[in-house]
Amino acid sequence: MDRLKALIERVVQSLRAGPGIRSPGANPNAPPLPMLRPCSWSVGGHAALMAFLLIGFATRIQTDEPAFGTIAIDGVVLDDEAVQREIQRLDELERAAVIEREQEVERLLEQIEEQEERQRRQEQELSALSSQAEQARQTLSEQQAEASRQLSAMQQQQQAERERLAQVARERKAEEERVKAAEADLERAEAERQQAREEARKLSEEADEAERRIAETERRTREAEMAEQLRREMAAERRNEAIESGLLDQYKARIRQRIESNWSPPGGIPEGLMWVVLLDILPGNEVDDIQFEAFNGTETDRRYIETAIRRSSPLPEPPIPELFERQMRLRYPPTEPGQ
Amino acid sequence: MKLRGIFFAILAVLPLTASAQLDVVITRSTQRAIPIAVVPFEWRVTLGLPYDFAEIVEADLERTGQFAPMGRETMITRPTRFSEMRLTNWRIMDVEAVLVGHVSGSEENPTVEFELVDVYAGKSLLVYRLQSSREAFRATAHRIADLVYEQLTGARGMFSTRLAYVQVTPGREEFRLIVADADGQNPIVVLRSTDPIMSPSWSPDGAYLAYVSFEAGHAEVFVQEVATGQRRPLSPDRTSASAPAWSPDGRSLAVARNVNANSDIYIYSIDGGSPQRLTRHSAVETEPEFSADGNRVYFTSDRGIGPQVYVVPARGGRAQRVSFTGSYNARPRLQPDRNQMAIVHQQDGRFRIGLMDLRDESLRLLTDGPLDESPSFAPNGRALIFGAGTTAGRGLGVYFIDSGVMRLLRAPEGILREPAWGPYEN
Repeated sequence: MDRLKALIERVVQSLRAGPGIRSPGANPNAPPLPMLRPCSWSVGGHAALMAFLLIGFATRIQTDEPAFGTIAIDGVVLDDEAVQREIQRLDELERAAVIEREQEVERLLEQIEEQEERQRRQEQELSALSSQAEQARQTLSEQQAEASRQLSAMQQQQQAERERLAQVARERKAEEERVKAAEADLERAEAERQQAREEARKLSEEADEAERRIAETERRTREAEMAEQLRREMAAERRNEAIESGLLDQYKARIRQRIESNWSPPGGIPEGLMWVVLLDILPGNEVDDIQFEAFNGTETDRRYIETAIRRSSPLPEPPIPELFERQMRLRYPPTEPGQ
Repeated sequence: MKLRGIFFAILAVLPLTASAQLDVVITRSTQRAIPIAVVPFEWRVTLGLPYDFAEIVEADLERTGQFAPMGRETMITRPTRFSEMRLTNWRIMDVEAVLVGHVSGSEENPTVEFELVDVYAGKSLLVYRLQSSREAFRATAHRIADLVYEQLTGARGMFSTRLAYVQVTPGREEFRLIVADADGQNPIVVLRSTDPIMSPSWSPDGAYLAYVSFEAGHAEVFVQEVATGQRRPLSPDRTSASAPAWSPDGRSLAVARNVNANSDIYIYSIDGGSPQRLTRHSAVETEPEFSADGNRVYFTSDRGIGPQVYVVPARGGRAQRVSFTGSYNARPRLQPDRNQMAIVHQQDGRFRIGLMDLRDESLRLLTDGPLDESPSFAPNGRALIFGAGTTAGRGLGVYFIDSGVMRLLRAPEGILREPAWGPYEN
């Protein structure tokens, strides 16, 4: 068959190269009709088959059978009928051979077609396989890229997750602090409210108390005023009695002696010194405020006068309470200079 | 009817006037020492022995007789500053002023911080910080005493000043001119001689001493620089002269110059040149003393009956008698800032120091004698020193005028005499 196939091949090729089957009247320079191409194999195949049949027939005749002339020459005179029969037999043989050959060709053609079909299928399979491989490679690459993408995406996701978790932790912490602060504020506010309530209550109580006190004071003041009036009148009377009896002079002498015994300026009393001092006396005869109404000495002189007065405090008690005065004036020297 | 009307008017006014003041007239003061407390200063330097500043301050103040320091053993607390004090406690202890302080820094150069507190006024009168040293710690203490004294009395303190006096050894073998602190401590011999030394006199700046030395066989005035000991005779002609007294400006000296057995007052310029004769009298004129303004010279003269004090203008002129009480008033020394004069007054054979008022010529005798001599005022005029010839022995008497207290300084041996109180030095 290979030899046959090669032969066909050669035939096909010669057909292609030579004038071949061309449309009558077609431009010989024009390329073969494009429509011929896809079916070149089958057309080529049938042409080759036709050629083959023709050639093969001739060849067989030449090799297997003697040429007709020879027959005629070499034959003995033969009956026409016999000849006609022979010829008929030969025609029948011929026909059978042709049919056989046609069947053979038919078979070969079928084989070729089969072959072609197989090849086509193989090619298709190959192509499909190749395509599948390509597909597989593509898929693999895509899968790898996808895997890489996924990995990266996962990492990013993880990172994002971590950050999110950190953020969440921070927010939670901040929230907790806010809550804590809010609680503290609440507590404080509550304490303040409590305190305010307490203070308000106290203020209210105090206000009540103050009102009571004011009323009480007013009442007492009225009473005291009356009592004071009476007391003053009586005091004036007793005071006058004390002055007349010399009690006041005795009292003043005791004060003078007390002050004098405590007045000890180092170096004695400076010449020309003069001072007048007004004292505020507290009940209990304690000296409160010392005011110089007149003074002509030094700072040291002033200090010893003040010291004398402070040392003398509390001053002698008056012989009768009516002689007590809230203020007292001390003066030195006994007579004004120049008098 | 008219009288009765007035009577009722007075009665009506009385309740008003009765609520005025009680008038009390003060006639005198009482002399007494001021009760104070000098609290031992806290010593914040760890090394070495502390110098007891407070002890010296207390001794200085106590010596004047004007202060009665509270004993340390009776102090309940020992505060170091005003803020630590409970004033009522000190009032109960009858203390009027308290000095507190503390010492810090190094033992070599301690810093003393102190505060004087008025217990009755309840305030700090003085807050001070002084830098001291190992060598100057006594001087620092005297300075503190000066400040306290001035604050409490109004008069400047005299504890930082120096004294000059003559010490005569037993048997008169040696005469020494000595300079010492006002409390008699730290005596330094500035001149020794086998011949008599007399009449030391401080220059107004305290740098020089003029005195009389008999080293040439007769009385002669020398001027000696205290710090270096350098000395020179006042008069180039080496004439006999005695009783030198400095003029207030320190430019000249009045001396009693003895010419032809007659003593008169002359004025020598410190720079040399011929002396100016101030008195011209056959009587003995001696013991000159310049007035504070330098315009007059007081001196002793026996031109009358017995020695008396006279005064003459420093530029020359007629002398006038000043002292009249008794038959013997000599050696005048003017009290600084006061119209008073210290003199040696003799009566009934007793030589005593008296204080004469220059206005009314009244005389107050301060000492008993019988052999007191050479009064010399402290620069503040509140004390005077003199050669005290008491029956108990001879020394230097210091009389504190305000308190009337007298203290006696004595040497371990010999006689101390002719003291001169130096000027302020700071």
